[in-house]
Amino acid sequence: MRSLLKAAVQGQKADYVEVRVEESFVTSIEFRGPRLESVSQSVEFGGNVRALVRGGWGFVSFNSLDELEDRVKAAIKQAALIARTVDRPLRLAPVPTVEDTVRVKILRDPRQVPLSQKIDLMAGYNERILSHPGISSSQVRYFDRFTKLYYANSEGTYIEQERLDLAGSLAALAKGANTMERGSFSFGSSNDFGVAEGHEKEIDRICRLAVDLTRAPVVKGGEYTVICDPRLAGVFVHEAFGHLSEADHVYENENLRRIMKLGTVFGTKILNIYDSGLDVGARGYLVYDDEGVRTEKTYLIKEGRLVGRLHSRETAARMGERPTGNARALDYRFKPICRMRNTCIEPGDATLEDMLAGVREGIYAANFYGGETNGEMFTFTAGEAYMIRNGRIEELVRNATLTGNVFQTLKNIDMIGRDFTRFDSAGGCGKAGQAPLPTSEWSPHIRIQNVVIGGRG
Amino acid sequence: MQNTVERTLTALKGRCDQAEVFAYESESTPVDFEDSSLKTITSRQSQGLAVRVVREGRIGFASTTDLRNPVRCVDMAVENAAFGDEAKFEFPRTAAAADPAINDAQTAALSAEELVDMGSVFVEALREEDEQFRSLAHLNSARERVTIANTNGLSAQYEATRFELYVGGQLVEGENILWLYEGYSLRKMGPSIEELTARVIDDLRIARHNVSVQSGTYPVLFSPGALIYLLMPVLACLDGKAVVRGLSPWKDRLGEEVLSPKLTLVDDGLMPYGPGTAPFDDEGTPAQRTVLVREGVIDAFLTDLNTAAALGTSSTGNAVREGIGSPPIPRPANPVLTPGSRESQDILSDIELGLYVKDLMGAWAGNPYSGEVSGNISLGYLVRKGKPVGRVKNAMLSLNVFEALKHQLLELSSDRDWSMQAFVPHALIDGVSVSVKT
Repeated sequence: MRSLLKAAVQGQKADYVEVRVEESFVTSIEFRGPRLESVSQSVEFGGNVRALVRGGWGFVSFNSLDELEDRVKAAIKQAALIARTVDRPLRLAPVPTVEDTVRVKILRDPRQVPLSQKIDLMAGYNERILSHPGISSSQVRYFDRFTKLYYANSEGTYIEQERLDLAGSLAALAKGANTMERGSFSFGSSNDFGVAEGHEKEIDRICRLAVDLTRAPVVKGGEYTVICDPRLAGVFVHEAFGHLSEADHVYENENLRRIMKLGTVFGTKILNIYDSGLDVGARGYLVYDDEGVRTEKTYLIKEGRLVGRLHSRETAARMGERPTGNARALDYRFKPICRMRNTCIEPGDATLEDMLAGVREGIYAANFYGGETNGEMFTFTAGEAYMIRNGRIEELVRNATLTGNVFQTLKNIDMIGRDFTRFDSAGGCGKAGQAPLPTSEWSPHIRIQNVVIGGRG
Repeated sequence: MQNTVERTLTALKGRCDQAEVFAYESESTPVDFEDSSLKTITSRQSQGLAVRVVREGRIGFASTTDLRNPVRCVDMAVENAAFGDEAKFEFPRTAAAADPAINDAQTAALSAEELVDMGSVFVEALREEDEQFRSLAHLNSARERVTIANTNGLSAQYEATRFELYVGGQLVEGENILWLYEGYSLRKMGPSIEELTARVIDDLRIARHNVSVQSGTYPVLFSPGALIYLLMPVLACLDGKAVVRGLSPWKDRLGEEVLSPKLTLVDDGLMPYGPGTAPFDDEGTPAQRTVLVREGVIDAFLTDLNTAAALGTSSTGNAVREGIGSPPIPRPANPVLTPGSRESQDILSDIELGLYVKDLMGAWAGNPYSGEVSGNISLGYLVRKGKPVGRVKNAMLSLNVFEALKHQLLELSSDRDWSMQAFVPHALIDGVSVSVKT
């Protein structure tokens, strides 16, 4: 592969050419209710060529290595077509040339676990959910994906990387009057099948939650002090701030550049946020990004001030900053764009008791159902939420959807917990049609003032 | 590809009771403008093959995009069948009789250069309208070919085209960010680039002025782009699979009135050049037109072969593979809501005080079977005395679809538009809760 790819990118009439080939083996299992709905195994093989001519990018993707040379030529031809319309030629930010081979160090290797054993494990979870009183249905999913990636560019970099990604989710559903409520839990890892095991206690908890939700009142809409558990806080930082830090949103946009000027105050002194590719085992763990750039721990906010952002080589060059190893592609069908890895809020010094103290009426929001942002506004739905009254977590409420302005809300974080929690979920990040990309979001509890909660009544 | 399919099917014979081979090939040329300039031209060639077997009454599935060795799939599918779901169906024997319009020569012939020219029309017009607006456009013409064969003797193929046109962009003023979008994906060109450009400019002119609104309940006119978020839970509950699983709250309510009599929802799999139109579905079952909800009454659930078998009916021809690696599941082809009698503009002009909502953010995130929909009004206008007067911000809209589309639906418009895969009118709904950050 090495000589084939290196030969393909060399000596071309382009400013830059890269080629990527990947081969993945994927296993997935899904139970819905009592049925083992699907077991599938698939081989995914494909590649792409990306070429840069002045400021224009051409991109060709394929499932066959035949005619690789023609595909390189096609990408260059497309790039040249764009180059005619470009007024500012583009140089990519310089990075060291690398020749490297990356093997994953796996604790328990899912490839060594027989398919029947994976199915038995999930079947056991599924039965436990379905046998719980009051539960009417279930959804249990598991997948693992082992990928071999081959990457070469015209600057001389050649990298072979192995990557492992595995995750699962367990959901219990309970039928209420005209509704179906759900409790769920998920896990994920980039190096250990072991994370799939031993979730019996969590299952009992989500079953009780689903049943309790059928009897819970819908949350009353309004403005509240909200305490987010580490999982929801993780999604919050990902949605509300992480996406805004992706430099491709910012670099050609004068107004957003002004808002996102380094040094701008985004939060109080207690707020520190970073994005890192270095956390072994996290689904967002990454040694080299999809432009062959070594990843790092990138601070985004330090003591409330904006200090960095997530770059590809292109955005770094455009903004006169340093590449951070955040150019990621979902797979060979897509070009790399600025994406997160493991986005974290650094721990503070508060305990949950400190946060609850003095909250007369608020919401304790935990876990997440989904979320979205458009840069300025965010919205996400908690998996479970409780009223806080006079400093105590009280009754469960349904349908707590949090929304707000990103900038105001970050400033409204007034307490950060000391209980930094490492966990990975089965969720994936979506951007520009590339979903689900494995990312991680580690965080402690946080408290936010004046959050709008949607709800009827 | 036909040869590869036949070769794989031959390799399956004798190893199972029934087998099916599905292959997909496509070529597309997406052209993308970002930040008001031409950014990327892509050429995407993709192919893949999936195998399903029924062995000792159980289904096995496997797929590959490595066509150097398609027969590898056979072993994997046979292995998986040991654990698979029970198969109570037979693969179809005969090919579809219908021949809906899905292949447009003009779309097939579009070059990257022509798509670039089309996109430039939008980008230039928006530059002229407002220098600050960062426009983006996605244009794509694609050709696809589906081949299916099974051990019951079916061997069929179709070729189709696809045309995608999405335009929009972002305006940032201070900390005020406005996103606008218009577009569609059909089997040939729908509304022209000029028409979509005019719509974006109209929105840009109104939406740059923010107005404040009080928390409360309002009559809300949902555009097709916003109404789709209310339709999603409805379609989820009509999914035969959700019925079989016991997830759908409507599972025992076939023939009952669950929505307003104003609502008739049809899945028209044969609509000429519709985004989901094909002669047969992804299991080879002939496509059809299925009335799902007739004047508020549930008429049918969407099914594929296995779901239909579980419900004791026959497949509605709605099997869809969401990727070559995904087994078929029931999905609507072209969901269509029948229109009302008045133009949306006339409905709007009768609103004394209310909202006109064009896009919702995060509204898909809830549990669809609960019917609860909550979304941030990412694009919506305050309407006073029949006129949109400015953009509403930091407002959250919440309703229960089952209640809203049964008791609160006042009117549907006569004009309809494509929104995602659906062809839907505007809808005026009364008494919608809106929470606003003060």
